[in-house]
Amino acid sequence: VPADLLLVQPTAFCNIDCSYCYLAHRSDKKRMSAATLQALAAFVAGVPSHRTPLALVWHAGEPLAVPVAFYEAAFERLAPYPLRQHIQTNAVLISDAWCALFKQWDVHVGVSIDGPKRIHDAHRVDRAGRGTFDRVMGGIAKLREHEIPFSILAVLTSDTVAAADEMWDFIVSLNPARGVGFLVEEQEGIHDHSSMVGGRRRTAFRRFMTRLAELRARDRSAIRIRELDNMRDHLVAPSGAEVAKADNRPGAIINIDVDGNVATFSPELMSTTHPRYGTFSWGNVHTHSWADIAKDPRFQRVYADIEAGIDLCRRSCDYFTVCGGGCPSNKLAEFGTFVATETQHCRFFVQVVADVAIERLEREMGLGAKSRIAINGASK
Amino acid sequence: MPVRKGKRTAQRIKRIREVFAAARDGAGEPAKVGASGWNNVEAYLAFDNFNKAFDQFLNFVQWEK
Repeated sequence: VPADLLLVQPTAFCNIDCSYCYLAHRSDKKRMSAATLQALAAFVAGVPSHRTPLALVWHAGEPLAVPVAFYEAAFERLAPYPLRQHIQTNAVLISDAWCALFKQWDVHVGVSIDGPKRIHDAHRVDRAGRGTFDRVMGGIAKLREHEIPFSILAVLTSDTVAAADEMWDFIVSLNPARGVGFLVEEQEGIHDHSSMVGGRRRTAFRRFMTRLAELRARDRSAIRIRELDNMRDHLVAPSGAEVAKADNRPGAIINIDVDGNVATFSPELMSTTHPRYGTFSWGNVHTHSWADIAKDPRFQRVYADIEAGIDLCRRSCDYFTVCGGGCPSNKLAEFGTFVATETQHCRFFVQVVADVAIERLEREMGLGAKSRIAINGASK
Repeated sequence: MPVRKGKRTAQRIKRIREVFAAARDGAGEPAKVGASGWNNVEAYLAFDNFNKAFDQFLNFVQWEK
């Protein structure tokens, strides 16, 4: 499958210590070497892609925990290839020097921030346990000062979904030109519990997404809400279309860690080991091309099981045409196997988001009065 | 075989897609959608085109026919 996205980890280290982080190696300060960067550039040249430019996301750890000079060297080395550079950052370290780099290389910046101070500081804390909100807002102020557009990415917990209006007001105050995306606190990697498990949380999430859609319509806001807008795109796809999820298709997302190890499928698998599969990297940019990795028998075994899981989804789930078969990392975390179907991620980001988006489309198209009441009674 | 999830959801998705397919094909307003609903469909398609030009950062899914 041609690549949609390259996800590169310049370091596993993170300068903060969020309570829900699933990364086991976030205290490891090793950074990608010059030799690995060079090998990465050669590897990228051999990656088939149907997007021009192909998105390369620096995503760690905290990508700004390595110096500006690292990226100056990396971007120079990667300049011959048609790439669009992205950085997903906690924004704590953003300075004038970082902003100059972002502008010079047209880097698309995503900021991880969970909401207003009381919500954000409950989970996104530094290594001394202090909230990071004020420092994140300092970073955002720098982006604004330099007129750098950004997106925001927020992890939703039980506190957030109970505060939709407060959250919307906060999003509007940030005015993220590249939109907002949401994640839900998940049991994944070393984070083995979540405040978002259970039917009541799902109902609260549905109310949250419904209310956000209402508030955006009320305010006639153009702020893109990733989950709702992507789902709307999937719902209005041509008849007979199936949505293909990149993280369950081999090679659609290529993940490269700090040592140059290469994996594909869900990025979260990179930090996981499993008794049946071992680690989820099947080669290294120093020694392998993408074509070599695709032939690895261990990779083939994982691929076969992921395909079997997708097939179960296809046969058992009415949301399949707007989903594409679920996230492998969530299946493995929750069931210990890829040959599985519905996960917490499905219940939230496919079923609930689809229900909310269907409800809105039906209402606006004047379709299905009966189904409106049945599906979304909680939001009336 | 697991129990199917979503009950009538697949049917509702199919119906929405049929309306949008008609709009794209220029087939005119389907009987099941009123005039105001049809205006909204056309507005959505315009918005859709606007969004295609938008940055799709971290948009991990795509259509496949």
